[in-house]
Amino acid sequence: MRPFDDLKERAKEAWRGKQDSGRLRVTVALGSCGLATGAEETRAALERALAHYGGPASLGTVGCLGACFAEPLVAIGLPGESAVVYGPVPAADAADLLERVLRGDRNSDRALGVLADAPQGDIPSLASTPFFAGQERRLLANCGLIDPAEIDDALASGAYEGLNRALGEMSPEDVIAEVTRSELAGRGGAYFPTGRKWQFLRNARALPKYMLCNADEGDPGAFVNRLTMESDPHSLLEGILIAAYATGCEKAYLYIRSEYPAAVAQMRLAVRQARERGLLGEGILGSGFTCEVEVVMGAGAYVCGEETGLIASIQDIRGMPLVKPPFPAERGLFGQPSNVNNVETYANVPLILRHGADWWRAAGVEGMRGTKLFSLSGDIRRPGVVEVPFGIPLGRVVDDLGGGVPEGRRLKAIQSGGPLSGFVPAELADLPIERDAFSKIGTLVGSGGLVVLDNSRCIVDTVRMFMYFCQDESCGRCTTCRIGTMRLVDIVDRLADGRGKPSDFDSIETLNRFMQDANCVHGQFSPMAIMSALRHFRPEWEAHLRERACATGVCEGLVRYEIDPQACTACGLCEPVCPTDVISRAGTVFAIEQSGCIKCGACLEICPDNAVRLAPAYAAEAVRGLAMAQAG
Amino acid sequence: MTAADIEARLAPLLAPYRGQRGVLLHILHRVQEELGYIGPEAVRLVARTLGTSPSLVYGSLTFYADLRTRPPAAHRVQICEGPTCRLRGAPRIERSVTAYLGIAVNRESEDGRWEFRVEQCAGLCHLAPYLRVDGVLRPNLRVVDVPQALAPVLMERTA
Repeated sequence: MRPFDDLKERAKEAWRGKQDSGRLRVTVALGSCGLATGAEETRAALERALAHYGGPASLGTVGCLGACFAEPLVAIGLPGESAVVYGPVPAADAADLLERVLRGDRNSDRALGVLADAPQGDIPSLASTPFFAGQERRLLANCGLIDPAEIDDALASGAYEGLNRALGEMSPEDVIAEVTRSELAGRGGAYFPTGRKWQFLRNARALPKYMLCNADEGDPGAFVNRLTMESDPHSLLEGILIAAYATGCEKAYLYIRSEYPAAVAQMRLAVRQARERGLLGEGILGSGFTCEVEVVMGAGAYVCGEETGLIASIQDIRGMPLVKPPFPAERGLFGQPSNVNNVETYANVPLILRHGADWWRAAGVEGMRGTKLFSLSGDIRRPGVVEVPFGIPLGRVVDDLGGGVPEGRRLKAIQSGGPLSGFVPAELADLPIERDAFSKIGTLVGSGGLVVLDNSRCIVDTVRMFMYFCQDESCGRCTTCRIGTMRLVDIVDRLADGRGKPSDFDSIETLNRFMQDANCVHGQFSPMAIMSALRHFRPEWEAHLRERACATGVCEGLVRYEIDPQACTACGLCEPVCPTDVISRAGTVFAIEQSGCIKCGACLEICPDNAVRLAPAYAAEAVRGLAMAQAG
Repeated sequence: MTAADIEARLAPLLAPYRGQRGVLLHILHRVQEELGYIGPEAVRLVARTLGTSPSLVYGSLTFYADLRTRPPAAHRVQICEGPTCRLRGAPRIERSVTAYLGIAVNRESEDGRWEFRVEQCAGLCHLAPYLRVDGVLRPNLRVVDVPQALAPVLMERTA
């Protein structure tokens, strides 16, 4: 038997043993999103509860399904039945849940769905529920179902079949041809054709050559790469190895941001396990192909997610993006030909080799083939990670999968692609998720972060956050970006505080033009959020400038917190919660001393009578401003 | 710690990296794990190990948000100000923390016993907004709960 077939057979046996439906199977999702909600405590509670169970049972670990809204997630499979996913299951409820299920009480109110096509009683199949029904789960197929720390789980589910096919039946040129035919494009946000990028590297003759993986997912609100690394690490590792084979590299670096320590640990473990099985290192699977993979942890710098910043960071110098040209394929890491690709790009490659380019490119639309992972957050009922084909209307992802904005609110905008990108306003939310449609309205699809804003949010304040981020993360190499981002921060701060000047909008346009000459994409795209917000929400900016009004009550310089004497019942709950002690009794009611108020909102949160109101700070405001704040 | 102490603790740690390249980040992480921060003496030793100049090591070290040139405070309060955290009230929580601790964000208290820092988005957006107090996550935080979340730090202050 060939080495891979043997490996796979043994893995399948181990997997079959685990799935043995003759016993009680319990799993807990321990991705970092789950851990942050107490999943480890839930696991410990289940372990204690299972100690009293009489029959054969197993308690296992899985990664994340992407259903972050329901964590901690627990799956329970009774003997002879398919497993049911439950969530959220805090530790305090875990033993009780298990006991009820064992008694025959299916607990359908806490069930998300059955891990099978058929329903169980009144519990639907998970795949048929709204969050999952609209998805096409190719990259996510194993996530939440396999133990990421067990290479056998991955092997039994198809991992390394692609690499095996490449090494056994295909030349490096064949692999590049297949990837090119698939039309896979860079998932880090640039959407550059991957096959073509690999071909540049293949053509370079200087040795050694390096394959690099960009796992420095720094866009706030994007956490799709984290999910892949934590839940299906071998999908990434296999993709990197196939890429190295195709381009003639013997060493690959995987650069992971330090804010993802669990992903770093998971990938280091995956590398070790792959090496033990002969899937990495010298003579992979008995072939002549050798490749080492080194995991490098970053140290907190957003621009190290720019390919040359990443290269500089590995190279023992400051992680500042280098001047291009030369491009990495010509001179990259240590001056050698290199490629930098995103985690999700690599994770697609095994699927292309396993199922063929035709199958892979059948999803998506012309110009943007395949599926994309998106992380949903913000004002959305079901935050989490989903996988959908390109071309799907954005609104369908937000409403059908994500459940839309909370009760009583309306959608205002969707921010896609992080701080170096723009907004899709609510009235355009049916836009297909596709590069040209997005760029026509002045924004980008980006690397997968989707932050949903409802009508209680201020667009000026949202842009302010993005500008602070862009300015803080500017590496400083070029004056254009270093000073340009600071000037944009000054202007947005002024506008948010009601000190704007009429010339500010022109200044922003001028800065945007100048910043196109910045050394790298950071400077060039930093103005995109503010330009997009001005384009789609001009009246809101004008109100901040001319009327010094923030209708949503968010911009702290433009609102006052006041206690309505008609509504106040003098319960006094507000007085002790004020951090600056500026609330005190004034006759028969309580009042806030404005000069010491830090606009923190603690009083508003605690007041049982809705007596704390947001009022416009500048008396010139029409009642309209106040009315809008209260309607939000 | 004297210079000799630092050298004694770092020498075995640095030895495997002598003469290698592409290792500075690894080294800086390990030094910080060992000593808690990377001071001038450590910078000198790292530069010697790599055969480079202290200014280049210092230039790299100061570029990264995670790496510190001074010892950490006894108590650390961290807040994320990513978009979802910001939408859900992180700036109001920040102002409240500043009022209770008496220090602005990204600052240390005068006696160095506690510090308040912004951390970058780690993708825990379904728990926004949150504080991390001495490493313990306080998710879905309301402004009224800030003093209770800060209890470990506030108790230290009155002690």
